[in-house]
Formats: sequence, structure tokens, C-alpha cells
Amino acid sequence: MIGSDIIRGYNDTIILHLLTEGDSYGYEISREIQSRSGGLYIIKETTLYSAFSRLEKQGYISSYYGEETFGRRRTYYKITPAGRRYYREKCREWQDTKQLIDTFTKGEEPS
Amino acid sequence: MNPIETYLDNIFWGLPRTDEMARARRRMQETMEEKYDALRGRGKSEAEALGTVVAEFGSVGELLRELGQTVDEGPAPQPVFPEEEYRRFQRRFAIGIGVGVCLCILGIILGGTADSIGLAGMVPVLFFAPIAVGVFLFIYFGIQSERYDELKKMYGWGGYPRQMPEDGAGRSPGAGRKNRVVEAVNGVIMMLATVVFLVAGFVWGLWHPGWVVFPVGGILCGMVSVIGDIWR
Repeated sequence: MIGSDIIRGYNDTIILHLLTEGDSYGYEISREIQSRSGGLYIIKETTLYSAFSRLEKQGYISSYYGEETFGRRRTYYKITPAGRRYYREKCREWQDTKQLIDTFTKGEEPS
Repeated sequence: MNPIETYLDNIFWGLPRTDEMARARRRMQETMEEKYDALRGRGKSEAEALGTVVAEFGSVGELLRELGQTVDEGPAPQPVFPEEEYRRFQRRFAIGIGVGVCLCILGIILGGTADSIGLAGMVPVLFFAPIAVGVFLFIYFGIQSERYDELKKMYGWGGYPRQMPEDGAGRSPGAGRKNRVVEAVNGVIMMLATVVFLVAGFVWGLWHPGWVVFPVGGILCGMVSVIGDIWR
């Protein structure tokens, strides 16, 4: 299990990645994160909502209500062009970060 | 009412009731209910499904921090001590008290000199009106100041220990001592005023100018309180 402290800077990036594949909604995103990470990262409800709220306020995603099914209206999220630019930036940032940390974790061969 | 709804009712019960918070709750409830239904669909019992959803809820603190940070105008209560607001208040407070003191002095002067400027009939009004306004200012700013003191205690601002507000019993040691001194001095001032009034009245029959000791005593108390506050 990966703790949320380590992931903190990249929750937004993870969510945006999923949204580049198409519009989605809260539960689907939460489910995809869990399944694609092989159960290593289960994103908390509050973390997820905080990220949606932040991304929406920054104009990186927008929300809309889907069709009503079983009396329930789902909130869908859609990535914006600004969001795509931000996502690409964060991907570059991660590559730099990965390189940096690799420098300091070299030589520790898994035994 | 489904178990998710009950759980969220409990979580959100003590939290600020703002539009932001209501929206957060609605959206999280949506996701949580879908997760719950999916777990039940996979054969989990009610208890297991609810347990999983609750375990994966996260922390309210995180939510509050996120919403607190990104609210622009701040109609939602901020979980932070409002520094800027307090500084502005301190300025208003100083002006208010200063004006109040001047008004009291003005009242005394006007009351005393009304005869010589030919407005003898207006003595009571000229004397009481400015003093009444001055006293109002003292009381008003005194109350506001106490409100900020409560906030200061809650957020551990400026050396106050963090505690939930209690009725005057939770002040930091240094402030507590000075506060008791101020209260004691004020008590003595007013009691002296009463003694002087009674003596002047019974012994010399000077009830009339004698009553002045009360407004004057009140003003002195106000001054002592302000000095005490500034020292803190």
C-alpha cells in the first residue's frame, strides 16, 4: 500500500490522466485508480473530492450532470484544454523528479 | 435513509454549513453510494460494504483545508485566525477608545462651562450626551475585544495556549493575572466612588454635584481596562 503522503503532489495528475481517456465520474475514477495500480493505491474519498474541487476551480476540468438513471444523476468530469496543458507539464515534472530521486537511490540493489 | 447518508450526517454535523460544504457532501455521497452498491453487488454484506466505504473515506481535516484554501471571498468560516481582520480591528479599537475618552472629557467641560457660555438650561444634555456616547463606545469595543480574545485562545495566537473557549476560566497565566488586577482595580474605583458619593451626600448634602463621581469612576475604569489590555 502506498501512503497518500508520497502521492500528494500527483493526485491531480492521476485524475487528469484518466480524464484524457474520456469524461468520467467519481466512482469510476476511484475504481480505475485502484485497479490500475494493482491495489497499491486506494485514493480516499476526501482526497478525490478535494482534487476535483481544486482542479475545477483552477479551470483544468469542468463538471456536468449526466442522464438520470435509477433516480440518480451522476456528476461527470471533463478535462479542459488548460487541463491538458497542465497535465503535460506535470508529466514533464515527474520525469525530472524521477531522475532526481533515481540519482539518490542508485546502488541500493534489491537483494 | 441509507447507511451512507447516516454516516455522512454524523461526519458533517459539526462542520460549517456553507454551500461549499453542502456541495462536497453531495458529490462525495454520490461516489460513496456507487461504491457501496458495487460492493454489495459483489456479494459483500451490508456491514462489510459500509466498513470498506468508511475505511476509504479519508479525513475531514483534509477536506476543510482544501476548501478553506480555495474559497476566494471567505464567506465560509476560515479555520485560521483572521490576522488581517484583527489588525484592522485593533486600529478601530484604538480610535474608538480614544474618541470615547475625548467625548467624556468634552462632556465634563461642556457641563462645567455651560453657564459661562450662556447655555445654562442645556447643562444636563451637554454633559450627558457626549459621555453617553463615549461610554457606548467603551462597551461596544470592549465586547468586540472579548470576541477576539476568544478567537485568539481557540487558534493559539500570540502566545495564548490552545483550548476550547470557556467562560473566562481558560486564559493564559500572565494574562489571567493582569486581568484579575484590572478587575480588582475597577472594583475598588467604583466602590470608592460610591463611598465618596454617600459621604458627600449625608455629611454635606452634596448629592447634586456628588453624583459626578459615578461617571468619572466609570471613565477611570475604562481607562484602567484599556491600559491593562495594551499591556497584554
